[in-house]
Amino acid sequence: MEPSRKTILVVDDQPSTRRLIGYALEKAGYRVVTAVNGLDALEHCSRFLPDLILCDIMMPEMNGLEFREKLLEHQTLKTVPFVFLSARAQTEEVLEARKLSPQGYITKPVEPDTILETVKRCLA
Amino acid sequence: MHSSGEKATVLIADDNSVMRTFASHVVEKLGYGVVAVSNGDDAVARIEEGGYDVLLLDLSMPGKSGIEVLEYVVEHGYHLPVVMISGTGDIEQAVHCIKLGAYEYLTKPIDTNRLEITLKNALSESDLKQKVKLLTAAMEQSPVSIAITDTEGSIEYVNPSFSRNTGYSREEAMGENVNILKSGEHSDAFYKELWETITRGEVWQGEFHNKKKSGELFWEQAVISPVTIDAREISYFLALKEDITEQKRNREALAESEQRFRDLADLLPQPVFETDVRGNVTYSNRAGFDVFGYTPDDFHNGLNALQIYAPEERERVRENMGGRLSGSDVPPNEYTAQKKDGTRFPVLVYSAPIMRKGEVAGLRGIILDITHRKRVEQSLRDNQEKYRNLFQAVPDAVVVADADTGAIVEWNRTALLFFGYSEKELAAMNIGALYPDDLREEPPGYFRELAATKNGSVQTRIMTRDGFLVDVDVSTALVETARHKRVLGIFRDISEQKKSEQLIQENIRLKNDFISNVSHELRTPLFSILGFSSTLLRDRDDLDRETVDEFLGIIHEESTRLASLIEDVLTISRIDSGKVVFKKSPLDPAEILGTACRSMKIRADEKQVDLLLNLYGNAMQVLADGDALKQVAINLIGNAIKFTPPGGGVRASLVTENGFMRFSVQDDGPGIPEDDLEKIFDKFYRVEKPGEEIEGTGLGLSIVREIVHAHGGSVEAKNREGGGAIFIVRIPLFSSNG
Repeated sequence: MEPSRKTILVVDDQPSTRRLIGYALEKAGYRVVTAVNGLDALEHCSRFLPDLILCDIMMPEMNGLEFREKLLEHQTLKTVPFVFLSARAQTEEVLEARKLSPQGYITKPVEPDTILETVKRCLA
Repeated sequence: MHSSGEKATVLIADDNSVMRTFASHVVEKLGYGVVAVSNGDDAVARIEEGGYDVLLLDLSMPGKSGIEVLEYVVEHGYHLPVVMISGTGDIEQAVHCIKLGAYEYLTKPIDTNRLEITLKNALSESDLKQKVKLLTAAMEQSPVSIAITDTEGSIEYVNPSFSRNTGYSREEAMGENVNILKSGEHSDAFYKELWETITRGEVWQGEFHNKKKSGELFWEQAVISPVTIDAREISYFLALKEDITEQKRNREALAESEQRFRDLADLLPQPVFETDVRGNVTYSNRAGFDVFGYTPDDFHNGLNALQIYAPEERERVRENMGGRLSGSDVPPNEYTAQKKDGTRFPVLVYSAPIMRKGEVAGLRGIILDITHRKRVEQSLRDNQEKYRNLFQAVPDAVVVADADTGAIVEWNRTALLFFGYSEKELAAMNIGALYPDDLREEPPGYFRELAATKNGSVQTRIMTRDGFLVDVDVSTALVETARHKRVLGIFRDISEQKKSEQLIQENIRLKNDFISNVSHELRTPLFSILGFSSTLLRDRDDLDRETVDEFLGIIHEESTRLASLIEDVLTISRIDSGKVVFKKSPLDPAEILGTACRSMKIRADEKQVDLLLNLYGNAMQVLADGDALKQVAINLIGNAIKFTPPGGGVRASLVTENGFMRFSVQDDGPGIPEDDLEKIFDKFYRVEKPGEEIEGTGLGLSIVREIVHAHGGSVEAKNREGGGAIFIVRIPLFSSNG
């Protein structure tokens, strides 16, 4: 593991999504860790501190919004850049997501390049 | 004075007894009664007693002399002929006596014969004089005007009544011709007929319009008769007349007043009648004839009042007429009248007894034709009936209350059913009592507001007798009549409407959720397809074959997922619009369900869920659409996998049970909240726990239910003891013998 590589935690219950984003980010030089839902992601966060979290909203067990709220309760984790990546377009949820994550909100479907641009901007 | 049949009595006064005896003898011989006295004083006393017809009086007597007695008789007006008897035969003395009023003067010695003749004559003359005096007095004092004329009409006698009536005194009238009374009002022929009648010796009777001395005209009722004396020719005419001017004036006034009454009565358009006590019509005005069609002939032949009424009314008319005739206070009555031609019409009869000399002599009345009024009344009743029926027929509850107090006064049948109160209960209630406690005022505010303003409508809530609250729309109207001010309220139950409004809202929400869900579910595979395809396009030269295959595989898988999602949406749309046609045929469900279950194996493996199949226990056949049945299995198993956590299992089994195919799918998921067991088959319904969202269209189970129902079967969801849910589908088995 190269020390210069940033670690990005990708949280999504869809395997294809995880694969796609994982591929795109790794190709761009990031290290990628994936989780299938909020609970899974929390467990990862207890073991290492990601440089950025890219998180879906609608997931079983613990959804993205709940996961984000948990992070915000945590002194260290709440400072980790956080970007929502969701197919949800309902206004209330988007508003809630933007409130919880001022850094970014990406609506699926989206070109992988757009995700990369947001990730780069948040890590800059 | 003696009257006929009674013996005349002679009073003899002489101091010579021989003379008294002689005279008494002569008188008695003549058949007269006699009383003899011997001096003048006794004679006067006897005269004062009365009852003597002749006085035989000696001139020289002691005491009062004969002259003095004679003077006494004349002065006191006694109708007593006095025959003087003298012993001297002195001529001067005789003349003196005659002048004083003596009837005769005889000298002694008295000749018997001479005395007899003298007494007889004195007695008869006294009689005649009396008669003339009586007749004269009668004529003089008669209230009837009397005139006697000669045959030429020259007046010979008139009495004071004549003078009073004509203004001519007796002196003025005497010698004048009776034509001084002519007024010129009568024709010459009138007088000619009069004269011809009386000169023929007949009595004429008639009325004169005569002229008084003053020129004033007056009416006299006259009887003129010729007077003959000694049955010879006519010597005089006697006219007896009475002034009838006043009487005639009264008669005319009476006639005029009667004429006025008749004219007025004839002007009236309503029949006016009079009857006698037996009900016979004695008078009818013109309208009476016109209205009832009777002619004056019918009338004169006798018409009873009962005949103008319909036969069935006559008994009542008779009773009422009887009551009125006997003085009872009978109100005006309504009857059915009947014309001569049989036509009937309703009448109102006012009548009152006719009084003559304090006795009831009949009835007088007026008959009002009330056909129009009856028609108006009838149409009013019809209208009332119509509105009453309408009022009762209204499907909404209608309650009418007093606008001031709110007291309920009227209601329809629907109101009784709607509020659940009895007629008696409602009648005693205030409109406010129909509302729940929080709205209860008597009367409610909006009601008072309405009573003060106008028609309106308000949505509120009422409470029935059993305490149920019902949402209503109350349309109200203020109904004001001369007597009442009322508010009419039409209560329409809008709870169904409200419920369906809620349902529509719920549907809209579900639809929105559905669109949101569908768009999310569509975007997710689309994201992968888009992402991997653009990656492949850009990076294909850098990628190894294996990765390219992997990416293409994902694109394919996600495309398939997208396609099935679209298929679901289309399926539910078709089911929604009723356009699905199931192509049923007898088939073995094990084959179909086996294929479907195996196709789910990949999904199960992917999620590390163990999918166990137990499908071939029994051989069976059902009449079904194979594709639809496959859809049922896929949806149920897909649903089970979705809720089963990795490491869990999903078991599908197929058996026969009581003539049904029983296909069940059980999972190791969290189970279904009891409240949702029924609802999970509703379209778009999703069991959601707080903080958890399960992907899916919300259509899968809904599609299952639609398909199963279309195959005459049923589907149910249960929670298993020990966790997890089980879905059971039952479809009737097919038997080739029917």
